[in-house]
Amino acid sequence: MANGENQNPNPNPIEATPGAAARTITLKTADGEIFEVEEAVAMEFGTVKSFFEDDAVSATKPMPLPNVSGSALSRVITYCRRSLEIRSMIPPATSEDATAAEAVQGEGDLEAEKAAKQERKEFEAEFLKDESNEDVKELILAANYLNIKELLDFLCRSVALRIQNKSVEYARKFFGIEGDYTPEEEAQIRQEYAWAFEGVDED
Amino acid sequence: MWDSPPPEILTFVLIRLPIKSIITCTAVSKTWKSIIQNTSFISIHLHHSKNKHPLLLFRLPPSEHRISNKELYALYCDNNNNPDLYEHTRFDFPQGGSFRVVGTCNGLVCFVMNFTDRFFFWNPLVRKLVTLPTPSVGLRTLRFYNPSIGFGFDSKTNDYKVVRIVSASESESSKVPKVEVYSLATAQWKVVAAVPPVGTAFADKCDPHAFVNGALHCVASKNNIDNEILNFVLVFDLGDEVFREIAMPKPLDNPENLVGVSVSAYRNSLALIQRGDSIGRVDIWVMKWYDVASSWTKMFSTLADQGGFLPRLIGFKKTGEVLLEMHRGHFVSRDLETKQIKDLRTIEDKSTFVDSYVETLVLLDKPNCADTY
Repeated sequence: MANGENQNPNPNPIEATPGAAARTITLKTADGEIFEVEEAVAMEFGTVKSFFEDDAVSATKPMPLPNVSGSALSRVITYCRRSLEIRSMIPPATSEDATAAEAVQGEGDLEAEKAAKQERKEFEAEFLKDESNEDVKELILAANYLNIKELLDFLCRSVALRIQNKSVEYARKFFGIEGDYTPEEEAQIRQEYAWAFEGVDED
Repeated sequence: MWDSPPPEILTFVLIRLPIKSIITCTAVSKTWKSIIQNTSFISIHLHHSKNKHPLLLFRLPPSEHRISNKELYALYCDNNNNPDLYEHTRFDFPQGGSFRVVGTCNGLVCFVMNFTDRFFFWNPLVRKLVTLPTPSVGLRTLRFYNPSIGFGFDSKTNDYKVVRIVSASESESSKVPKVEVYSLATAQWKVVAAVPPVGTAFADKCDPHAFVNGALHCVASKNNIDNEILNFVLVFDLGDEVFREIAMPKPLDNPENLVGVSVSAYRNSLALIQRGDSIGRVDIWVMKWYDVASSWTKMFSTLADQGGFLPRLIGFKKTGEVLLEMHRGHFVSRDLETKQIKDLRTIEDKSTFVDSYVETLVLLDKPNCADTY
């Protein structure tokens, strides 16, 4: 950036101060695994953030996460780490005076935003590529418990994509639900909304 | 892993499905059906829809209708990155005949059949139609009288309402004006105690009322203390069911200047549009702070072009840009604040703009009064 020192401190939040070791937070999962996570990444978890903000809790004791397994947490950490990296590709918005310099900066920002969007698209497509339906469901529960809005939105969007325009049986299998309609009751719904059932994939 | 997804997670997933899929999901299980056909789920879905790309509802020209004698509507997707409005869906209005739009709100469209007292609520995306009962206040004749009618949403009671103002001269039996309100929740018309200020007359009753901040607005006039006729904006609060007034800016308040004035919703406030072929100009005034009459500001003014064509106001988008036909066949969207203009293509000639639109499941939770078609 051309103007002034310290207007844009190092945008990469993971390396807080060059040279100093990043602060870590210790998390302990339901199955006893211990994870040391960079503070910036751990603060993406709403649950962790409020845990450390509410009490003068010592950061040395591991925070227990009784509802999350080691494998799920590992995936979640991967996601949040990458998400932070992508977000840091966009220079922070200058909040002070609007100057001519900012107008020029605006163009560069737009390019950076586009690039970040594309990175995110590719990363998200790759992230869930090999996950089974069970794995995705486990991740959703973890993201919900840990209160990670962005990850939860992404996962729910992905599930919606997986089940949209598919048959009713497919949705039941995906969520592991037994249908509880009688054949007549189900036929009645299908008849009333016949137009909605048109063109549905019979898996 | 889970016996069934926790309800809030199921909701997060379902609201991200296209509407057709949400409807087929009612066949998955009884629990899913009761979650989906629930007013609070529908509210959450609506809230989520509002953050998506805005949609614009148009009525297609009569030449398209002739085939089935049904009016044809199209939804266009308004993606700001793309100057073309691309067609999202099109649908028939399920009743034959000719209709006037009373108003749209949260994806629900209210119609009245021309020269009748037959009202309908329509949600084309879930294919549900409500036929309203006949209003209780009769008219002397339907051929010439057109009561002032408005449609909106009462957020206090989460209810959709139609307001019908019948003046004394139109009324079949009454010597005073009567105001009737239909509520979807009760499925009934009810005469309310409130009446417009004494001597109120309506300039043009065919313009839809503007629904803003929980109230309906229309242009009206009445005599002031000095016995001069004064124009003002008549306001009906849907929650409290009472009338208020908002002053118009000079010179619009003078009826001699009141040629072709209508009121429209503009962002969270109001816009007044004056357009007259006889005066050869179009002016748009905006009330910068709602209900602060001194904040009326003229934001746009233009004259007829050399060919004598006077720009035609098509409507306002939810984000506040005004859609205009600047020259014959040339459509633009214009931001009144920034003055930025964007060309718009793909508006079929002679299509009528209805309103901004949003995808919604409204009426899915009303199996008793809404018919599927």
